[in-house]
Amino acid sequence: MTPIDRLTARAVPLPAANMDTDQIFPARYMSRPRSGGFADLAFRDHRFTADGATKPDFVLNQPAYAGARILVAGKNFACGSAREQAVHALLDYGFRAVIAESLGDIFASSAPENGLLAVAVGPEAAQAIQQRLAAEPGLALTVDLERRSIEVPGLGMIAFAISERRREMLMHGLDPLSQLLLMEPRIAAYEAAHDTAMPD
Amino acid sequence: MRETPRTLFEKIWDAHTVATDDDGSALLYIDRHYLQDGSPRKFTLLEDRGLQVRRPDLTFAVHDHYAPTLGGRLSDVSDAAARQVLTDLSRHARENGIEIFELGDRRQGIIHVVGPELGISLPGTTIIASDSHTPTHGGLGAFAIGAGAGECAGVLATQCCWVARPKTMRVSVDGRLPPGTSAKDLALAVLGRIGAGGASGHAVEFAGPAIAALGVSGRLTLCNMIVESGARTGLIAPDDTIYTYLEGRPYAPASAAFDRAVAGWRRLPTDPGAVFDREISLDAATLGPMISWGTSPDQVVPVGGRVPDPAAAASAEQAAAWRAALGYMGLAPGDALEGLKVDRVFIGSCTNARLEDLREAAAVVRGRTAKTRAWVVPGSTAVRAAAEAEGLHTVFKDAGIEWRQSSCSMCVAQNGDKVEPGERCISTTNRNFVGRQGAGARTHLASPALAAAAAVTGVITDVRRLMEGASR
Ligand code: SF4
Repeated sequence: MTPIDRLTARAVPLPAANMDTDQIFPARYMSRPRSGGFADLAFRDHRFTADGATKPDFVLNQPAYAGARILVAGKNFACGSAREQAVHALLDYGFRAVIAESLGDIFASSAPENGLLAVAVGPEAAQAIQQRLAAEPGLALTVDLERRSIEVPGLGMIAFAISERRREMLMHGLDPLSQLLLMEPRIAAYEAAHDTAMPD
Repeated sequence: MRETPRTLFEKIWDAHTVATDDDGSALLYIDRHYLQDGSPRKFTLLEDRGLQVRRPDLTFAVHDHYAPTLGGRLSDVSDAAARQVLTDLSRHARENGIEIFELGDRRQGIIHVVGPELGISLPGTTIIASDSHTPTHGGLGAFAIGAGAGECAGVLATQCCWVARPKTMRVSVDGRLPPGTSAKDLALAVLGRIGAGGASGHAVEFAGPAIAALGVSGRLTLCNMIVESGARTGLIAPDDTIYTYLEGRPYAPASAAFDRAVAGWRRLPTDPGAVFDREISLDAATLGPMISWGTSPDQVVPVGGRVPDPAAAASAEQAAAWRAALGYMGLAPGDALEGLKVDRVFIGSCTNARLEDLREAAAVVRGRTAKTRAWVVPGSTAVRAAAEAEGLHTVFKDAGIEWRQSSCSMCVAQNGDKVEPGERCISTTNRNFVGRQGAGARTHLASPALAAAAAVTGVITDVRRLMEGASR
């Protein structure tokens, strides 16, 4: 996994509330393997018409935001289905970080497991950043994991919370499965102390 | 010294904590891991590292999302990619010694129906699946959560998962649900009250006399739907209703072990005096049948209500969301829901396709004729068989309603069953998202009884009208 310690990149605002994972990655593509990449499927029905024509109005299709690697989303972003394909589609599209007003719970934990930083900063901060981005399309933000903060030119520093374990993982690009395997002695001890086959 | 009173959630959490992080997250031991016909990535992640499945005995697989509703065997799956997903899951299960309830097996069905009915999901257990409706099993008193496929790969390898500690919320429901009103209506009313995202990050416990009066099926429906409030999970304290239900089920503990298990389960309910981060309360007696009008499950009104006016929205953001929803749904502010013409009725899904749900629908349909295209898709092959044993299939078929094979089917339109663009569908499912039932599909969420009423009248109808007297 590619480490993210300090990321300075163009950001794109997507303030819509309840942008569920069906909209980020439509269910009809669920049987597709990732080998071909999901870049074209991210927000598929927002970006393209049924016959594949580009919808120029959608924010990701606006030239000023081309190459954005940070998504600044609204309330309850990526709620809905657990589909990890939504995380992969965002990564394949080029996003490295999602800053949202709030996040769907499953997405909030599965995104960082896949190397996509996802933080919730609350309504005030998220809306302030979105307004800055709308006022100055193409603006770059800096997400700093070391300092747990987001630098927004003209707005200052916005702090975010992230657990130590998750921060380490993202900063060093650690593989979550390998990290989990290091817990083996404690897992074995738990199993020895409990009837795990028939718990009560 | 007396122990600090704890909630049901806290008791399960504490009993399964293997390690903790600085933000209160815990590495939880997982008692039951369910695998659906999703991406095979969980297994390839293990294979790439030469890892084994740690506890195949605690892991169970099913065919549900891609299961066909006509036929019901692998050879009936026409889409090659879907067939591949199903075949891959069966192969991975077999190679790893995991039990699978696949197409053709009489235990096949939607995992959130199958887990409880086989007695695999038990009170006090931790349950995980890479599926957002896993909290359904909380209806039995379990802590059940959805997770990403990568996290589930971790569970396959270690039987553990890092979980952020949810806040707690109690929804206390007094009174009794009136006739014609079910757990689904209660769930929709709760969503309308707290909003999509309103319980984000919370473990929501349902409590109170109206909950205690619910059967197992209704409890599962409630915990299934609370997912749409953003809740991490829903749960209900187990009681004799649950123990009676579980006794004798194939995977539940038997005889002396069952009695021992029940003794343990009786210690699970929230202690008096335990504190929740949030509390809300409702009176069930004030509720009636509910229906969604928009594209988010919290956009609901009583069936006799009208579509709201964006001009009356609480914020500019909400007004914009309402306008978008109205446009998609083909509705105007002030439109009455009752009387709207319906193109489709879908009775199915892990929300509302258990035997009790089909009985409620059949009671409305009996002796009437469908006025619109309607399907019943049982939640499991066992539910289908039980319904047939009671003759429910005849009630539906005689009315001209299609009686199909168990699958997720039109809940998510992944197996090819879908609502056509622009069609209005009354659906007993849990999500009315844009495009969820098919591109351009207009979904109204409702109870099985309300869906049945729409089927036999061709329009959205307050089911209580069909219940009063025998006039038709
Ligand atoms: S029935 Fe619908 S909600 Fe339930 S598991 Fe299947 S697709 Fe998901």
